[in-house]
Amino acid sequence: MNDKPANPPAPRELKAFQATRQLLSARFSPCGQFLCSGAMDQAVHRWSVVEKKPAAELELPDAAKKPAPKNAKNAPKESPVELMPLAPITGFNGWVSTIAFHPTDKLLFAADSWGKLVATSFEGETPNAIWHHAAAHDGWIRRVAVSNDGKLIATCGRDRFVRIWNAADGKPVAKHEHSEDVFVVNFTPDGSRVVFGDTFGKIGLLDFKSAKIERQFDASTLHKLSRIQDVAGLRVLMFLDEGRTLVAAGCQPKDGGFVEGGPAVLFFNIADDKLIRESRIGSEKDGFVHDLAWHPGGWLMAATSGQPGNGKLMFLRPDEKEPFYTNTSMANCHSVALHPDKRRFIVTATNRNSSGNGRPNSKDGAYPSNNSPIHLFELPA
Amino acid sequence: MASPLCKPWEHALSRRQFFGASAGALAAGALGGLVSPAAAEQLRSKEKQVLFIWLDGGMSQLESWDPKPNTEFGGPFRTIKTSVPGTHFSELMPRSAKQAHRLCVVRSISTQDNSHSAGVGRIQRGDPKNRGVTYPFFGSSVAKIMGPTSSKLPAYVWVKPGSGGFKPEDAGFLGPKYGALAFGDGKPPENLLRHPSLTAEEDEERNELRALLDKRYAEQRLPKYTEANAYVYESARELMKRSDIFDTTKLPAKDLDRYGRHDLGMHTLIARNMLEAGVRFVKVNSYGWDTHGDNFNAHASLVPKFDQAFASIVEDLGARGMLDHVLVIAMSEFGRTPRINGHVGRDHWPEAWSVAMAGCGLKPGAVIGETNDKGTFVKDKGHDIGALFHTWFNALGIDPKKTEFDNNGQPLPIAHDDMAPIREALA
Repeated sequence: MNDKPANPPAPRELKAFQATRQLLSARFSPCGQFLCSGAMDQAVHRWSVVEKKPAAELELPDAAKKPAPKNAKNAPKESPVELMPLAPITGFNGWVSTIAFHPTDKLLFAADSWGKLVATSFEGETPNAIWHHAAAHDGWIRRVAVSNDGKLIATCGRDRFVRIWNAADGKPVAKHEHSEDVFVVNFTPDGSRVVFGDTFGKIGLLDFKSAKIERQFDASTLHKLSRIQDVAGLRVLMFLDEGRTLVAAGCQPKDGGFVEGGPAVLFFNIADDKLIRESRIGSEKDGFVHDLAWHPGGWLMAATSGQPGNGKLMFLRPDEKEPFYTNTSMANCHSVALHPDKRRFIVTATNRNSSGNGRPNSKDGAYPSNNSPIHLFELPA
Repeated sequence: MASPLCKPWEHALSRRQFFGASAGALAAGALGGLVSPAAAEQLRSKEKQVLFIWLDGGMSQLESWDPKPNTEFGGPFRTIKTSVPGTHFSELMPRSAKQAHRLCVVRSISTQDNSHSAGVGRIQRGDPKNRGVTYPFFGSSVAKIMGPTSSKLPAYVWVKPGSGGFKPEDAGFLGPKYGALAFGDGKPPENLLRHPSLTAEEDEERNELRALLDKRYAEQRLPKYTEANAYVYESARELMKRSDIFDTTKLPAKDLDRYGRHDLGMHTLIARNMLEAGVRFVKVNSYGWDTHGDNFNAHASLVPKFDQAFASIVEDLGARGMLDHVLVIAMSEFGRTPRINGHVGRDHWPEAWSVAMAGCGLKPGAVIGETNDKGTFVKDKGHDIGALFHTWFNALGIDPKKTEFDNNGQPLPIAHDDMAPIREALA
């Protein structure tokens, strides 16, 4: 008897929505009614997730209820879900590099590259800031994470600090000064500790109450000194198996500059700090795993971005070396977010032809900018 | 007993290249000359020097000298105040910000080439009009026009990661005599120094023999065919006497901490020693700046290392009073695109970028030129590399309108003949 679960059928792309700016970190709200993303334009962009009624339920003439013939030219794409843009949340500086939702309250935490940390509502025309720290870190906050019980949030940044805050009022709870730039932080499932990782792929498990590093994990394959550039490959840390397994994902860099390197996912056993497996899930053109999501069906969803034009969505089971699903239709994917319905998900990517040396040839003579298509997918029931 | 003399095969590559540069000279003839040798002699007496820091691949102007915070292409970083009121640099350059009163930054560089292969040569040769010859790099031009200082040390030394040896290709039509003596990984060419088993007397005997043979060789040939040989020999002998200036084991720990214990820091510190010893032109290379991917994390790693080394040497040259006669230049072959590509990188951008300079003949604390609000293009008049060559020569006391190369009878301008110096940059 084979206990291995059957892989799901390939997801279907419902629609690609056009964000006007380059997005960095998209997430669905726990209620499923909003999609938010930090962006490179000093703002959190918001969309309302609108379920469209089936045509048969609408009061329309019968002719209008008929689906357009498949070969009809310019037939609009039908999607059961639409993302309706809302006014962005502004007041940030630099890049809004990271966001996270509170698991139960209507609260969004967002942090920017100048060190600002904000807790804000996310509904309505003009969301209100609940609390904020203008200088939570000295410069670039790379990640904000929320504990599963929603009581604490953790941040980390280029200033080498990991900081723990009270989610309700923003009061500082604990801090840890590390020796290097901290790229990522996340809570253990019970919220008693955080795990954080740095430029060199050094990962520490921090008991922030006792200020003690309890465990260290070696993900140094996610770092390379290329000439004088320390190429930092680590981008994601998450827990599986109720906290027994730590997942570290990013890039195994081959060199600096272009940053050629392969996306990789490392699995560590928390109990003994040992590396269980290292899954290299792409070629040297494929670059980084920028984001990971866990699907309760038992697989990781990875968004990758490498050389301009290269991007993949991959599904990988933790006990398998190779992804069981790979989608190469998108360019430079930077985040993947699973809707609470567990069926729909989005991938933020980059427009095609995003790169090029020298003056671009645009028809109107304007200097072009890039943007992030949002690809909405659905897993078959 | 084994002979203390080294064997011919021990001279393979570096030393042969160095001492044997005359072979190349026979081909190219070391034919380049100056129309006015008297003027050149006058220049030599001034002992002006150049430090040229080359950031190969293209440093981003937006993450360094010309930040555009909170704009569409501005990137994630903040800006910081500098020692010049109203002037801001990227937060990645805190030390250079404190030296801004000594710097002269041009933010309106606009050049022609967006490829490395053509761009590096084109920029370092000054992109003159095409006259069917290969122009010399700036270092070779200075070596030719100004010659060695009274120290008699080589006129053009290149400190770089990787291989060393004699690099005649920089000299173009001037001939190999004016090429660069490269210190690969900061070390002198292999076998340049006298072998420890060879006494000074034995070495002197060898040189007397060499001189005799050279004399016989020269008697049967025109001087122009033998001068390169003699020149490189004499330069090498002077270097052999000064091993202290490039001995990396003797670099002071305190200075290493300031300059940085990485290639760029150590090589810049060696450059300081060389300038103090009297080398006319020192080029320091740093590679790996071609940040098409992950540009911002790359610059967060690279720029602070440059900042450490650059600010330290500017500070030291200033404190020693050497900025009066040392021209400092830090640049790349181009800048980087304002547009951020899907790999979170920036591509090649010659349209609007920055060069930082300091010292000899330049206006300190100056910021010249301006890009538009988004940093995409130069606002008013852009400055091509030819204008920078004019500026540098003027700063060194050389008038490019009156000084020409003599390429075997063909007079050639030392900088683009349709361009002029950036007057606002000159003291």
